[in-house]
Amino acid sequence: MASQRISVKKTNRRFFAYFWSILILVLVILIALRWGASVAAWEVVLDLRVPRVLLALGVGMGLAVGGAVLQVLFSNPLCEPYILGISSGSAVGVVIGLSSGLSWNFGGLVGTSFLGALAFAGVLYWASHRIHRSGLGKGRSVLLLIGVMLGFLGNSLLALWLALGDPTEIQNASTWFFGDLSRARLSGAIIVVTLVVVICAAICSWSSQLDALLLGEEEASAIGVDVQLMQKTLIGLTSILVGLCVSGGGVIGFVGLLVPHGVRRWVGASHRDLLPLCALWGAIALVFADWVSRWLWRPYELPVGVVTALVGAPCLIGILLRDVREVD
Amino acid sequence: MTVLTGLLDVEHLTYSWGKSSDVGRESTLRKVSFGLLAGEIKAILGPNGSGKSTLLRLMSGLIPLSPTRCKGRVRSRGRDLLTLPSQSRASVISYLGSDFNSEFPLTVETAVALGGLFTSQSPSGRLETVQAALERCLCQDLRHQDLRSLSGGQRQLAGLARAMVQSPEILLLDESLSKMDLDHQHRISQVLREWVRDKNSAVLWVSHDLHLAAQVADSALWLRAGEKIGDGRIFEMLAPAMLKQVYPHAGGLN
Repeated sequence: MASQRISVKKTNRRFFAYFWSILILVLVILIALRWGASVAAWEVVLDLRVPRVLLALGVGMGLAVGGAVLQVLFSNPLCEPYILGISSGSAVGVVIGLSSGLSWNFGGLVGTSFLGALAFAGVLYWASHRIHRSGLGKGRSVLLLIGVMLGFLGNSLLALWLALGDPTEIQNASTWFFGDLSRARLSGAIIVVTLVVVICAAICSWSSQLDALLLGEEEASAIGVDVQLMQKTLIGLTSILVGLCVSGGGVIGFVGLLVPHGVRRWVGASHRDLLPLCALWGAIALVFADWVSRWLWRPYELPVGVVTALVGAPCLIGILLRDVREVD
Repeated sequence: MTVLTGLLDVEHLTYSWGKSSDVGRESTLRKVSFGLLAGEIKAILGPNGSGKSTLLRLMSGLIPLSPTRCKGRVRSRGRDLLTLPSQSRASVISYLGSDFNSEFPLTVETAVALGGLFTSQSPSGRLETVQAALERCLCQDLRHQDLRSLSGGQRQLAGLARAMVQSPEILLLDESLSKMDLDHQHRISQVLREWVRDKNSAVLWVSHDLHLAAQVADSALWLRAGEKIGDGRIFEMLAPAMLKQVYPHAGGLN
């Protein structure tokens, strides 16, 4: 009886979690469509805002789910595509694509963007195994530092390309490096959202294995997970997600860190609900941040990555300080 | 003499380092052979770096197998454990290390339930198994607490409950009771005895604690520098002559 009551309570809580999340997402979308820099003529809404909101939705979903997965894969709640430098790797991929003749068109750049993300994520995977096998107690901070260094490396390569590049491309590129959703086209946005949803669904099918990995690699393996197969598959899928997000919206940080962090505190660490709710809240966060970025200083616009970093960086410092306190 | 209820058969298990540039914490094993009966608790004893953990980690699939480094066989009821796919292996054998913990917010109950992730049980059946394991391992009162907030010994209790939920035929414990206080060590050793008897399973248990080994184990295996130097009834294996051979500097033991 008691256990039945508990399970009914749990089902109710889950229902309300999804209900509120979807409701808030709809509200945020309506706000983002209704208000902007100019008076909302129907054409403006349809031609500019709909693709932009759709792209923000897809990119936000992808970054949040990608962040949640990376955190568990590397057993470190501070991981996310931006902090680990994977987004920078992806941006380098885009730039290489541009230099080899692909134009600023989304479709052509997804492939090189994915390869850039995969290369950087591959380095991290290799590094994490080395750290794990040597049994270093400080593995957690070492991996983060390697990620930060990869980020520097990627950004330096981007700066080099900017210095040597053609001035018209530099104009395009400089806003994009800080995250820019204003280039959204309807067709591109629809492709991003569709692919992101498909890949997120594929990642959700690994929920049980991800749950086991919450206890660390050794425990997961003891419970019966083929840890290596899982890590390789999920790093591949996450790299596609990051590749899509970066080629669609540029380098946008902290969504992949803060959203999983908040959702985990709310519904717990079990991935059956964590991943879908991360997708919803990632979408909410980025649609909202993008709306703030074009509404705050209208008629001018801030790159959306600046808005997420302005909120995200202090939050990350807060989280780090809280961790230190808890350890003390 | 044939053994009727042999559960595990380890034959000439050898593990050697690959290239010297490889970073790793695995020690060498040299042609280690032994058997384990259903209902038996066997302690694996030996000095640091003697290959105790390598033995357990190899058997439970935690060390990636490569034919150049690893030779020998580990069989249980006709199955070769070293080549079994992870999920099937987990129903036969499970490993528990010395630190059961998470980087993420996880209640004891959820963490323990993860042991049953791949067992073929109905959800309600699984819930009962989890409750039973929590009670058995004396952590019923801790079940709503965050794993990270517990002491090392309490986490080890939870780890053992996880292993029991998984219900393997052979449980490998690597210093898994080392952080518990004397009272808990004693009670848990009783729990292990009962569990082994009820499930007709077996435990291989790495420890440095000879007193506890004498209380819990039926038999013991001594390893030194990767080689087996003794295998037999626990009291024979803890005889002064044996101890002097393994620990020549620990005069007080003899």
